[in-house]
Amino acid sequence: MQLVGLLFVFVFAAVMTIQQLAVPPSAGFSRQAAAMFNVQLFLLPLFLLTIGSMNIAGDAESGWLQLLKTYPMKMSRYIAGKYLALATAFLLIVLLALGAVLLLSGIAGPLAGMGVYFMSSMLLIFIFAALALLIGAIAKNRLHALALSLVFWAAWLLLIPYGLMALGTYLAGHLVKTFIIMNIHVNPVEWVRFCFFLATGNGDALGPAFYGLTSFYTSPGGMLLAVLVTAAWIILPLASAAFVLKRRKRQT
Amino acid sequence: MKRLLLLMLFLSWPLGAVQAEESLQQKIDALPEGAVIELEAGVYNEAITIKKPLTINGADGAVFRVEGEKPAISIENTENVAIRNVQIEQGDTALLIQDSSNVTVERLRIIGADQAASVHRSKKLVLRELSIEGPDGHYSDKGNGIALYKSEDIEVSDNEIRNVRDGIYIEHAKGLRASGNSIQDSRYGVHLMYSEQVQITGNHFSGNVTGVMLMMSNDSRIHSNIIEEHIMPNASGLVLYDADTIEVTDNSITSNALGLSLQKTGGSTVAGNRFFGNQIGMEFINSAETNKTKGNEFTGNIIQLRSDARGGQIAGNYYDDAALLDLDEDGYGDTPYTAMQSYGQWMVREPVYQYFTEAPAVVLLNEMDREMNRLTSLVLIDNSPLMEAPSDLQTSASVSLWRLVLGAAVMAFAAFIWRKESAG
Repeated sequence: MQLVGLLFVFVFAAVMTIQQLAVPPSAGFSRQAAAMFNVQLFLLPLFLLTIGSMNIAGDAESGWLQLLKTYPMKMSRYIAGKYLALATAFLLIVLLALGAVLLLSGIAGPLAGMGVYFMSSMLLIFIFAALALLIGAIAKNRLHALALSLVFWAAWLLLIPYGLMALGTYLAGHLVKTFIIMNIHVNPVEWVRFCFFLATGNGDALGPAFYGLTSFYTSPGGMLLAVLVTAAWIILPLASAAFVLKRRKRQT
Repeated sequence: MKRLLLLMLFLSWPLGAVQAEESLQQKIDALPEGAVIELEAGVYNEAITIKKPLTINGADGAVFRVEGEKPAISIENTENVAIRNVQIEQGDTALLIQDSSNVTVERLRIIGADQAASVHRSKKLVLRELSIEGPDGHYSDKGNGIALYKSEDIEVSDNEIRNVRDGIYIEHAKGLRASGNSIQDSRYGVHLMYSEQVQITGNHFSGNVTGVMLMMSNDSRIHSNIIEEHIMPNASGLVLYDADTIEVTDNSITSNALGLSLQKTGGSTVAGNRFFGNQIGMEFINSAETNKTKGNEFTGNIIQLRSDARGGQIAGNYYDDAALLDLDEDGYGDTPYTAMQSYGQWMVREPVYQYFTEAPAVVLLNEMDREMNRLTSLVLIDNSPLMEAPSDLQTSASVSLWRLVLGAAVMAFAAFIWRKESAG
């Protein structure tokens, strides 16, 4: 975990410093903002999914979970404890990384939107920590958990977008747009990315085709729906993880 | 005697009344050609029409507040007219110039007019230091700041225009020089239609839907302007559509959704411009073959250049994302720079792809694309990319003590908690 933390801090700070020195801050969605956010999108889900899922699967594999089941403890409490521990650990890593970036920005020049990066990190942590626990609960062992995590990570981050882009070569634009809007709501990476654009006021960067969608999500009703969707991405995986473990408890 | 007194009273009474109620228009009509009116401070609730050589110099606080559709000030079929230092509050057209020449309009403040200044079939005009603030509402519901129709030899300089449809609208004009203007929060900063020999120099455009929209025009120059922060949906810094022999030189094109778009444009030159921090630096649509793009600087744009077609004359530009070697030290990279990515090309063809702008999948794709496209000629390639930026723009690396201290404090706090939890 310490190594993961150090790696994240190093990559995050290095990318930011390089971008900061190469490209001064500019208004709107800049390459600097994209670089910083992409580091978050690439690394945080990867680390969260693998470490979180292997942790739960490791408990099952080592028999620790079986031991815990002999105590009068609800699975929901077990899941909640794991979730809080995982989320807190990664919040500390992010805090450390942002501290390093802030420190370096004291020398390399100001960096806009640090608060937004912290918020997007928190969103990633809260959503992917929950998903990691669900994957860990489903997995048979640690290796299985690792494999599942990598498959989901690759699918959400790379394969589904590539698939949509490929579809676009055959389908009409409005159909691709419909699939992209569906993907925003069923793909946690895309959901966080979409929220990042909204939070930074850069919804226009997604293009005129999505003007209606971004306009809706910046209205009061849209913001309420965004909160509900985000809550669903956290609560449903946690509830499902507890349910899976409970069912497994009955089976044993 | 009594009769004589009554007669004098009778004759003098109406005369006095006429003099007291004499309107500004009547004064103007009564003056000889070439006269100068020193307009006193105050509110003038009448529209005036000038049809002879005349100068009006307003004192500070001279305001035309006119209701109805008649322009507050009309200049028609005349020459050698000058109007200076007045404020116009008019809901319709504030200033109308028709069929006139040698007209100078300076230091006018026009507030809330649907159409601030409208010029038709006139020549040798100077419109300088106007301050124009359009009414609230959507662009489609209001008129332009300065509109020029079928006119020639016009100087439009040092004006401040905001919140109108088009800041400066030019149609069938020739010999226009627009310089030092600041145009903000409008639909188009400058909208040029069917015009020629136009020079747009040293202006500042920001926050419009499009900074400069040049359509069906030719033989013109857009030089040394600052074009920035046009970031609405469909926004662009500069668009050339169906244009010919246009020079776009030494402009600073910064933080726009799309910096410069060449559409159906030919025989034009894009040189010495600085494209900085745009979502898309420059695009070619039906324009890649016959325009020259040289000596520009592309820094920090998410997509530097894109095109719907192959090829394109790009040479000697600087790209901050180019990985180049210069073993012969001639100032140019030894290997070509592939200036277009497949993703950029898809975006031109299908706008919905813009959703994936700088998405993780696209970032990886671009890297693969760049490696593969080195071997093909079906893309925009700069065979002599500059090793160093033409401008000396660098980040202002000033040391900030509070960021240093705060960063160190945050790191120390996180490390302390981490160690404490690890030990526990």
